[in-house]
Amino acid sequence: MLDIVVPIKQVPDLVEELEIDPSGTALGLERTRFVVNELDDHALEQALLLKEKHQAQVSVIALDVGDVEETLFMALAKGVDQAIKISGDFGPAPDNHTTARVLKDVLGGLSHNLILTGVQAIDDLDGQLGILLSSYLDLPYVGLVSGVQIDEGGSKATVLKELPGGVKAELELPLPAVLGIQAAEQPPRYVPVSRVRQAMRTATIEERSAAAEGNGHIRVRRISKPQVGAGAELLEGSSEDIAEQIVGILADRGILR
Amino acid sequence: MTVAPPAKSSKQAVVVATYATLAAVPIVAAALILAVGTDLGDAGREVMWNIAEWARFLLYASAAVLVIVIAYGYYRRYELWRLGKPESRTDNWAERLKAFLIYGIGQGRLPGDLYASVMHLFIFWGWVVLFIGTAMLTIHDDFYHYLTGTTYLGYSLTLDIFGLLALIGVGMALVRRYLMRPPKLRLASLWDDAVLLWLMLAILVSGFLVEGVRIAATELEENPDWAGWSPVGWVIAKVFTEAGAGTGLLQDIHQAFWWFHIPAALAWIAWVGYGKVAHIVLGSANIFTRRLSPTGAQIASAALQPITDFKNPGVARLQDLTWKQLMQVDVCVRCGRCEGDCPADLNGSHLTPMGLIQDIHNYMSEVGPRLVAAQRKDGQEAVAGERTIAGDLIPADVIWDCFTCGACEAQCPFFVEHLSFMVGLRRRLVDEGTLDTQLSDTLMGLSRYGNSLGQSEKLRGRWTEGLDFPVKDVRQEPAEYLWFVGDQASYNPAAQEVTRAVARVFNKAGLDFGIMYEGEKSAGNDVRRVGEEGLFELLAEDNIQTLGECQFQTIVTTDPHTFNALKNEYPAYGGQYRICHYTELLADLLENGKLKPARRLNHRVTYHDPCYLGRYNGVFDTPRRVLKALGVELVEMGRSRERSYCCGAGGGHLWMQETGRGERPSENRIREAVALGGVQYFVVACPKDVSMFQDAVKTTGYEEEIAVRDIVDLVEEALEVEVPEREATGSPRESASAMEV
Repeated sequence: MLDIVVPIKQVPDLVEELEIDPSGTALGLERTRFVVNELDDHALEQALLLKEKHQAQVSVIALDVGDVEETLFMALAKGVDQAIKISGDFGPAPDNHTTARVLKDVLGGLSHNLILTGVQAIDDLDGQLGILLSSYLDLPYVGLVSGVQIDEGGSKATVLKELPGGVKAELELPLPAVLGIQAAEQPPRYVPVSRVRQAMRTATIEERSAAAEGNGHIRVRRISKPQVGAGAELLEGSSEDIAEQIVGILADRGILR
Repeated sequence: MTVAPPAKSSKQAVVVATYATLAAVPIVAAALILAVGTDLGDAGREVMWNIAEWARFLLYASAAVLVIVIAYGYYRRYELWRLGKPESRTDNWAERLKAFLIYGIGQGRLPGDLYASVMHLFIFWGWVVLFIGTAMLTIHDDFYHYLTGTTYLGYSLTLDIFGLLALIGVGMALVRRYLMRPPKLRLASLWDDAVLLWLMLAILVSGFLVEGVRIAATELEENPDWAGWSPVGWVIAKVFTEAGAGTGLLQDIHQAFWWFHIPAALAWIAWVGYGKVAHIVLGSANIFTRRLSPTGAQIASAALQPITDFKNPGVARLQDLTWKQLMQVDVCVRCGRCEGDCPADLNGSHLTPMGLIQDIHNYMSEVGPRLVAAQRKDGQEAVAGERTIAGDLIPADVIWDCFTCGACEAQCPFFVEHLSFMVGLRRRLVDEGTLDTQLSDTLMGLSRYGNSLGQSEKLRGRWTEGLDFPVKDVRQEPAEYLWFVGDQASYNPAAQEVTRAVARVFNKAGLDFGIMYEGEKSAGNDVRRVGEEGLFELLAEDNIQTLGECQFQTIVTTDPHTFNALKNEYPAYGGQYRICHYTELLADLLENGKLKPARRLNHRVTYHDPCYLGRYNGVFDTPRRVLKALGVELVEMGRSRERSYCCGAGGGHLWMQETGRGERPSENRIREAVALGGVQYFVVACPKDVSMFQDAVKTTGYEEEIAVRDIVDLVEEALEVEVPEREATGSPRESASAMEV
């Protein structure tokens, strides 16, 4: 039996303008809207594709950060077998070292022979979670994966990586293993609202708690929006005004006649 | 305002004239008889002359068998319909009877194709009168002797004329089928369509021959005065006597024709229980059980009730359709009228409404009886040949091709409800996740942000920043009109300018109005059309809750799609409101003097009926009243009102990759408008239309000839006193964002 575990997390939704916390060292999360990290959604899709192919058991686990229940119910509606929410004193925005240690704890009590997670998340662009998990669990790791095949016996995986310059690489690794997913073999599926609502009524999210031991020893000194540098000219006004200004500039520079 | 006569009215006139002619025949016959006088008192004929007495009993026995044969035919189909889910279609008998009289007996859905209309009217009335004539003869012969003297002669003349009309009709049908060959007849079958038609020809010709030979043998010499009352028979009789046929030969020929005519007629009648001619009965039944509400209220039909079976939503099996839907697939006679104005069919998509109905019909004929047998045995075992309807029998791309514009339903002579199939099929596909990624992204955005553009709800009211007066937040203070702006009108830059024009005109009229700002969400009309029922419910519930917290008297909408959902679909979720479309409000404001045009506009314009305003909700005249009040010259396109041609954005297509392989519907429409000649403005009343048709004007390269303008834009122009420079030239008005580089 193939047991797939998909650790996912929520990240700020960029449809809203981001605010910076008065401390200047974090995002202002009070009014932030959260959305599932896109690559984690791809990891989930890849897990569901493998489930359809190999009758695998899929569990989704997430630290209780943001509106994670929404994402977990959506995963349940998509057909995962188990959804686990982990609570603990890791704060509202744990870094990947903290997250990996918490996940390691929970994974200890969870049967797993394939761990799929998004290769990175937009809130830190760190790309360390899969690597850290694999070293804590002493498992092989491949990142930036865009296709996964499992052999009949479930003992090894063949994964696809797209390298720069139009080259593809196929890698083989024994299971259990950790994979950092860049893209699922098909776009994440749509799950109808009625199924999500149905899941909210009938399915349950399991709760676990885990201790957060230490962190990555990295301290955020400052978070800020880009400063307007010298020589840059900001165009202001309605989109039509701006379009007209751009046309004017291009004409001035002799690009348009 | 001068309205150029639409092409349709001439056709209607001819159809009316055809009716008048048909009605005149018996009247003329009666008048002639009265005029000719009284010495024909003993006129009449021997029924079944020259035919053995036992043949009469054979005939009646055959008639009895026929009744059973026909009844069995319907029983077999009835058993298939019973596979379907229940649906109530027998309320309001008076209204249903009226529909039957107008559209059944009155053939009220015929006008459209002139040739086919005349053809069908001739066959229909010919057959009806011949049938009544035969029944009258039976009564005369077996019960009460009354067809004598002038009554007989009038009877004889009427039947001859109608027989001739039927013959002409059948001839026209043969010409159409074999010489004209319109592409919409491509699904015609050999047995059901071709053989049947030739059989009708044979029945009519042999009937006239029987009559002619009888007249030659019995009337021409003895009672020449009577013979002329059967003009067709008289001509045939003359031919035979001129050829020198003697009485003995005539009797033999007569018997031969009679023995051909009667079995042919009986065979045709038997067909009433099985093939295409069953539309006499099934068509009537379908018209009687038609949806009485306008298309917009179609979701009220049981076929599209909210999903309750979450494990099994939408249409996968025949059993997922209602009996009414199953009956409808049997009604279709493959006339192809549904394709005439179908934008999917015209743009080269795989969908044709006729093909959809016929595919399900053929599938039901093949697999249905096995399903009935399996149900009898109470067995759940798989039935041979059973397929999933959504996605397999009807391929997914065909299901997604539909624009839900309703042009097919508006054309069907039997009121087949194609759209009820479409939405049910899509529900299934959405549940399986078989949908365009662009569409699924849009739906995700709708569930997260409440709008189809995937933008923050906080930006929903930002278009008001371009106004020099504040717009009330109706959540904070009461207003007479709650303006439900809609997604496109709120977010789409191409539509925002029109939205601001609406606001300025409302403001100028002193209207007390407000909007809900970020409290408003997509009304969900097209969400429902793409089959995402759960999301529609979520949006409806949210909107109804917010509306419940606002104080207002009437809702006014910009978007006809929003208008349709709020008006027809929110009541089922507890949202009952007074609703009007902004064109209706503009008409009121102009007519009660709240808006006073400062001048008459001299533009030559055409008006495009939005599907969800016109066909779905019957608002055709109000926008035209607005145009009339402005003084513009309105030139109607051939496809206007019920026949209006979809812009190609409906049914969720605004959110999908283009599915067509041919000309875009919007481009086809712009060409139609340009072909009218000298039309400056293509006037629309829907925010989706603004961007769809502006694009189409650019891609067709008609920017010099025609410009797209929203109706409110014209209203605002008429309110301005000074004549802007750009108008004086008569060239299309440049849109604000157009730049000459």
